Amino acid sequence: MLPSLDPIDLPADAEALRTEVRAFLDTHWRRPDPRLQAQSWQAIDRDFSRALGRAGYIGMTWPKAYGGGDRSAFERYVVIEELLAAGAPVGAHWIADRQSGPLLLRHGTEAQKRTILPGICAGETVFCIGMSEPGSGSDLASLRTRAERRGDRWVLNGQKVWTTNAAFADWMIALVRTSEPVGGRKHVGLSQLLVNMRAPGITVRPIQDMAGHRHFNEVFFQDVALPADALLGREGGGWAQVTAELALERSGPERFLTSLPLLTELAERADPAADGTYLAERLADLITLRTLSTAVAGELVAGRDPVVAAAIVKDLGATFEQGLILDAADRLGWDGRRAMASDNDPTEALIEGLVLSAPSFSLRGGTPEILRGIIAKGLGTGGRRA
Amino acid sequence: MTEIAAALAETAARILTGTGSRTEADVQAAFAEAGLDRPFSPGDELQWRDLAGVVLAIGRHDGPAALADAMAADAVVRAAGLRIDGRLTLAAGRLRRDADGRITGELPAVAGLDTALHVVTALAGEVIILDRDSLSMSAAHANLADEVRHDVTAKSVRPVALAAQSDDDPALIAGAAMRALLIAGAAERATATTLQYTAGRQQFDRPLDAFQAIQHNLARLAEETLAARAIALAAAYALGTPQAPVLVAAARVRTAKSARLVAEISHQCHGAMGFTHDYGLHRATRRLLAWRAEFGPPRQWSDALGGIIGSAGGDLWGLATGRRRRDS
Repeated sequence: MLPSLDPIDLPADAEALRTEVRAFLDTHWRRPDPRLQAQSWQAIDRDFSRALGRAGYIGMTWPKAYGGGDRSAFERYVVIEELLAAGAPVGAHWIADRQSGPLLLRHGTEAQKRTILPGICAGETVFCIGMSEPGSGSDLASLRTRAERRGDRWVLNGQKVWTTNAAFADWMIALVRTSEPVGGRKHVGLSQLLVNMRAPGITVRPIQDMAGHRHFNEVFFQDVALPADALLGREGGGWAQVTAELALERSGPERFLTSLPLLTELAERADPAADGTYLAERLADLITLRTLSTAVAGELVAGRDPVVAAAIVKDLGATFEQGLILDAADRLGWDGRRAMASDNDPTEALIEGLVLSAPSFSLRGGTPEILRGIIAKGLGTGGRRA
Repeated sequence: MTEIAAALAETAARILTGTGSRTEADVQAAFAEAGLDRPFSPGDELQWRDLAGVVLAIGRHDGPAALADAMAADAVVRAAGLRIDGRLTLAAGRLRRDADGRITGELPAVAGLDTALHVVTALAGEVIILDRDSLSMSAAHANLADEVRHDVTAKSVRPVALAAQSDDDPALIAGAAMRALLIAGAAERATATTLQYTAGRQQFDRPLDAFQAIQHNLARLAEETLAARAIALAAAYALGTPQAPVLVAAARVRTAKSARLVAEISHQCHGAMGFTHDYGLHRATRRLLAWRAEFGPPRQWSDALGGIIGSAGGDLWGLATGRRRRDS
């Protein structure tokens, strides 16, 4: 069945925050660093995260009892879209704010919520996500990291890879196998564990990416002992929990705003005769994506689960934010020369950073191949009639 | 979609698919009977939020665009505070005011002139109502979907009514928003038809939609269709607000892309069958391509949007959020 979505207007109280966030950015992101802008929501600036925490912009929707702001999902939407549109460095708290915190709120113990969530809201506590493994990428359920129950502890062995921020994260939420697959159904027997990254037996090795960054890591677990309450949610319920978590990951403004600073650079310097049509097409894409993304946010607020629409936002969004980079660079007259560390043009640094990061835009959070499979399944293809 | 919107769209769909709707005149009469030809009349206080779904339904059921133009003409008349009786249609073109205040110029490819009494159009920020009988019409011609159109010439015509409006050209903007909605509806039809065909057609002992290459094409159809629907509805909801020029231009640029891709991919998935006259796919795809070019072809709208970007000093994010960055 075709998904059906209606555009929404963001509520007035959420819109009212826009001016406030722009004023915050005028103070704390007055001179954007193009190297950080190019990394978008993977860019780390611990002080910037702390400043956001003080302003109440992290954990905005969480209860006040845990340090949150008790605000609406739409208010959070406005804050994050303004931060991302400016290319602000939100990487240190991004994962915790977007998905680990909400997971803990849903499945964590009262003690975990009280000890961990306030640190996230302050912009201090860093999370990473343990999903991919050397043999398990898109086929995530084939993972082999295993946790065994021994007495009142879990003992963890195995390896994760492509783990963003693992080198300095305080916590990881890991998807691991806790029992054998039943009848070849490998989605059964998976669980989520809350792993203290300071626990003995954990080794982290950074992986340098082609842009020169070390966001990625390999993480090794050797007989890592975890307390019984490290189990998040239901034992064996990990697959359903992760699927719900990935849906939260798919439709946000981070899926199409990554390279907006570069497009804006072009728009500000454009030659109307040569670039007008190109910019018009990109602005039309941008407005359409934002309309879709806010509508999906509205669906989530209403308690619905728009899996197909969310996958559509992610796929169209990645195509947009990835495709415009070289187009904009060409129109800005980029000559492909490596930017020098000293005294280089900020636009060149932004272009170079984005060009080198671009391949990841259609890999993280689900590849187009996987997303189109999810969409096709939702349409009822191949006899999968709903 | 509101409850009223769903009910009105349902009514429209029933008329368009009903057995009593053999000709365009039948459909037009049934729309009039249901009050859908002049839906903005005082008392009902309906908005585009309630009525955009009717226009989507016209597109979805291979209906005539003239029905949407009548609705949009009514909206423009109502927003201008005018009262005009009788059937209306909408036109946008190049008009000028003569020294004596009369109107002269051309209105190309106007729909609905067989039955409309008045043509609603605009000139330099003013809504203008012209008596159909005061205009000279070309011989009927057809658009790519075989819908009847007339090129209209006004030669020193005295308008029936005038009203000042702030919009750039309310008739052009309303007509363009209608085409975006119609395209979104026709895209839904083409996509639904393609889903049905690929589920039924077997090759290599499997239905076509069991092949991953086909599934990915179907996914792209769904993407383009949802994108068209979202931006077209956003544009329609914004009619009469300060955001209308940006959103309608964006909707026309984006739905032009959707129209093209949906037509291409749905034909590709159908093989030769979709190319035949007997099979119905072409009714949707020819409408996609015909409507894409009406009330300003894509180039006109990308020029318009490019101009808006230039005047905003390149503030794309301000235009997207409706709040200029520098003013805030």
